[in-house]
Amino acid sequence: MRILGIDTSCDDTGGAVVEDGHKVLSNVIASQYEAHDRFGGIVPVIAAREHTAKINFILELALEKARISFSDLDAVAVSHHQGLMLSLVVGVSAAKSIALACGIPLIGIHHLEGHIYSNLMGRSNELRFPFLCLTVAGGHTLLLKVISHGTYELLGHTRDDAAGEVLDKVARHLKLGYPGGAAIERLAEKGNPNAYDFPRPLINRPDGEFSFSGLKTAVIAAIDRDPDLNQADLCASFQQAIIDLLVSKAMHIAKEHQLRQITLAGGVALNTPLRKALQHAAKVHACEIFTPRSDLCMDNGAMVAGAAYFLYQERGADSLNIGTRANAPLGTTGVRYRHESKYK
Amino acid sequence: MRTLVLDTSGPFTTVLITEDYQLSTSHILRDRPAEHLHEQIHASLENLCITPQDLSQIAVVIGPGSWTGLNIGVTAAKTLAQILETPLIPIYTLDALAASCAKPSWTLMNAGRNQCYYARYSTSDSQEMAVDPIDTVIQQILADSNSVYVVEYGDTFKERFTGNDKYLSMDRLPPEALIAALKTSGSIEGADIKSLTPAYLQPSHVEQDASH
Repeated sequence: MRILGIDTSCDDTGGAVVEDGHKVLSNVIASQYEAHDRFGGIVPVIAAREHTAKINFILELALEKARISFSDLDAVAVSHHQGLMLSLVVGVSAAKSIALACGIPLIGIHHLEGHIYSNLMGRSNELRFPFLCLTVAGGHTLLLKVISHGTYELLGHTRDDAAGEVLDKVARHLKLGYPGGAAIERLAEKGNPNAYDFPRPLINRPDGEFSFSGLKTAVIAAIDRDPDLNQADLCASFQQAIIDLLVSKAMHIAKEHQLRQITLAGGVALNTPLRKALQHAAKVHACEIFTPRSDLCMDNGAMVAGAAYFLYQERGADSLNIGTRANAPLGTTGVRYRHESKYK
Repeated sequence: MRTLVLDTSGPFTTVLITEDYQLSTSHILRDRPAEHLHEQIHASLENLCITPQDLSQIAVVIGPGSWTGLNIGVTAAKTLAQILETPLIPIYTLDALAASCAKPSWTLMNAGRNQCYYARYSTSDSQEMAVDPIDTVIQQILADSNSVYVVEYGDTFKERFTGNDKYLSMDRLPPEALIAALKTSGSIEGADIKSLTPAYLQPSHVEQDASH
C-alpha cells in the first residue's frame, strides 16, 4: 500500500511516499528558515504563504523521487491536528484535492502520532506494545505509554516550555541560528559539561513532569552576565542539564510502569549525546532504546504516511470534511497533554 | 468545456461548475467553508453525474481577499489542476467585481489597517490593482464618481458613498460575475500551475510592521 504523506503543521513543507508503513520511497522537505529568520521566530501568516507557494512542488518532487505518479497512490495522509492552524489548512486542502481527484482514501493524522510512529516504521516486529515514547520537539516534551495502535496514556509532560523550544531560544540568544538544538550540539562538542552548574528543575520529583523555563532563564542570565563567556562550555553545560532531565524522567517512568522498551521521537531525537545518554542509562536499567532514522526525526511527511498505514487499518478513512485543530486530544483515549484552555 | 470555479476569497465560499460558460450548478457555503470546500466540490460533481476527470479546466479566485481563504482555495485548485492535468485560470477579485456592472467603474475592498485594495476599469482596459490609504482612494473615486460605477466587496465604505446611486456593495462574488471574469481571464498550464500564488497584493501585517 503506497501512501503519500503530507505535513505542513509548522514551518516545513513535507511530502513523502511510503510503502506498507516502512519502505520510504521518498521524503522531501522544503525549509522556510530564511523566510522567518529576520523575525526571530516562526510567523504563522508567513508560514502559511510559504506552504501555499511550495506545496505543489513538494508533491511533484515526492512522486518523482518515488518514481510513481498520482495514479499509483493507494491513499493520502495529512497532519490535520496539532500545529499552526494557518499552516495545517494548506496541507489539508492539498490532501483533500488529491483524495478527490484520485478517488483514494483520505487519512487525517495527529502530528504527534507521526512522531510516535516514526519509531515503528520498519520496526513493528521488534517493538511490542506497550512501550514508552519520549517525544522531544520544538513544541512538545512528553512521555506517553503506547498501549496499542492509536491508544496512548500520558505519563508525563512539560508544565511550561518544551525542551526543543528552550534549545531554540538559547541558540537565538547566542545568535547561533536555527534549529537551535543542532547549533548547540556542535558547540557543546568542544565544551565542558560541568563548567556551569545549571538548575535541573523537578529532577528529584518522582514523576514524569518536566519544567524547562527556569533552566532557560538561568542560561540566558549567564549569557547576559558575561559577554566574553566560553560559548562551548555554556552550550555543553546547558545541553547536559537538558539531557539529565530527559533521561532521568524517562528512566523513572519506565521503571515505575515496567516498560522495557523506550522510543525517542521528535527533532531533539537527533541529538547524539542524548541518544548516547539514553543508551547508557538503558543498560543500567535493563531497558532497550529505539531511536528513529535520522530523516524521520524532524517534521516530515514520511512519518505521517507511516502512521497512516497502521492507523488506517484500525480506524479506516476520514471524510472529505475533516477539520484542522491547533491543539487536539491524542488517540482513542483523547489524551490531553496541554493546558485545558488550549482545547476549547 | 466544463469549468470548476472556486471562490474562497471572502466570508462565503462559492463552488460552481459551468459548461461552455453557462452555469450548471452553483453552491454557496456559509458555515466553515475551509472544512467543507472539497465535500461541496464532490457533491456538485455528483449532482451533475460527472467525475473530476470530466472537468476541462479549474478556475480559482486568487485575491485580494482573506489570507487563509485564498491559501486554501488556491492550494485546492492548483492541486486539482496538477493531478487532472487541466489548465488553471486565476481570477482576480477586483476583476470579478468589475464584471458585475457596466464600465467605466471602480472596484474596491477593505485591506485592513486603513488601507484599501482598488482598481479603475475604463471602457477598454483596467488599471493596475493597487493598495493605498483609504482616504486617498476614496477621494480619487469621489472626484470621478458622478459618471462611473463603484463596486465594493463588503460594505465598510458604504457611508462614504451615501446618495450615490451607482455605488454597489457585494458580500460575495455572484456566479454571473465569476463567469464573466472567467471569460476574460487568461489560463496557465503545465509547470506554471505549481508556482501560482494568491494575489495578496501586500506583505503580511508582520512584515509591514517590521519595515516601519
